[in-house]
Amino acid sequence: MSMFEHIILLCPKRTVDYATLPSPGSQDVVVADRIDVARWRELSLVVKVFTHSLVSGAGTITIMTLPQSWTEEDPGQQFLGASVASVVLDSATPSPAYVVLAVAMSGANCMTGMARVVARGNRSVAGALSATIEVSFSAKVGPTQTSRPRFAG
Amino acid sequence: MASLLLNILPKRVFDFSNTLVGEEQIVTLAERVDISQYCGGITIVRTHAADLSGGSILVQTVADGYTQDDPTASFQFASGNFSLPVSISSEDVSTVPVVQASGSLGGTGLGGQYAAVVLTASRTDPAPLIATLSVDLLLRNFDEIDESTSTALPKRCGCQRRK
Repeated sequence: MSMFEHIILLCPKRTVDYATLPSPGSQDVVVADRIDVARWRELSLVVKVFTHSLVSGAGTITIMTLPQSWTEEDPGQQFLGASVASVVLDSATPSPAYVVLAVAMSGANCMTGMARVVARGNRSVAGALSATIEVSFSAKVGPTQTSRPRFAG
Repeated sequence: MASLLLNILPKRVFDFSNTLVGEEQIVTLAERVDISQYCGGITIVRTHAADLSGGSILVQTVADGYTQDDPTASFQFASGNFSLPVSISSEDVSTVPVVQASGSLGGTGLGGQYAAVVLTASRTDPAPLIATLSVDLLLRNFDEIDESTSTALPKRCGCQRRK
């Protein structure tokens, strides 16, 4: 039995700044799109927060994992589902911070074979609203029988 | 880890305007999908457009016990751990287009040799019940397999293997 893990880097170290976002209001930044996750049994959203300015209490930044689908029958349409894993960064989030959250890969309202990751800024009052983050998926196959019984002769 | 994405239902309009209020109408989208080489599966439903004011629609993958001993009989069973239904109603689908997915619990549970994908429309109001849908079935195997030898393509529908 063996376990395989694969790190899918979705967004290298990057600053998302919602300084011009009106109050109240929200804005989405797509940090990764059409990520193929069809082959993985387990998936976790990994968010590394290098620094942030959310102590100002101006709002929150939510890193969301959305199920996505695409079909050549309707190529112009964006098929997105409700978030299946969300990491909320707010004034209580330490800096730096490391958050790992499991993505639902089975059951009701689970992930499809494709994913989009969005950083949503929500402003409630005036003030600094930015964060320097790195986002990745930790994908695992799970216990796998790597060899099959062989019969003599 | 191997996976296979099957297009069970190409984009299609379902109009249940003639279904009586209080009645259900069941449509089998695909049957005899060979799942014997796969451990887990996810039903993916894309709603391209919809007017769901007249009721709701469920799409579910169920076990199909087809046998050559009685090929015309329909042995279909919707067990709770096989695949939870995808519910398409005005509460679940507030905006279109949208994609919904539901998989077997615990990542496993695709038991048996065959599966069928069934659509059930429930008319609860004289208002329209129309939806434009397309459905995929994502099958997963925890071992590497040769997809060229897979026989997962359903026998009785025009399903296509997608990449």
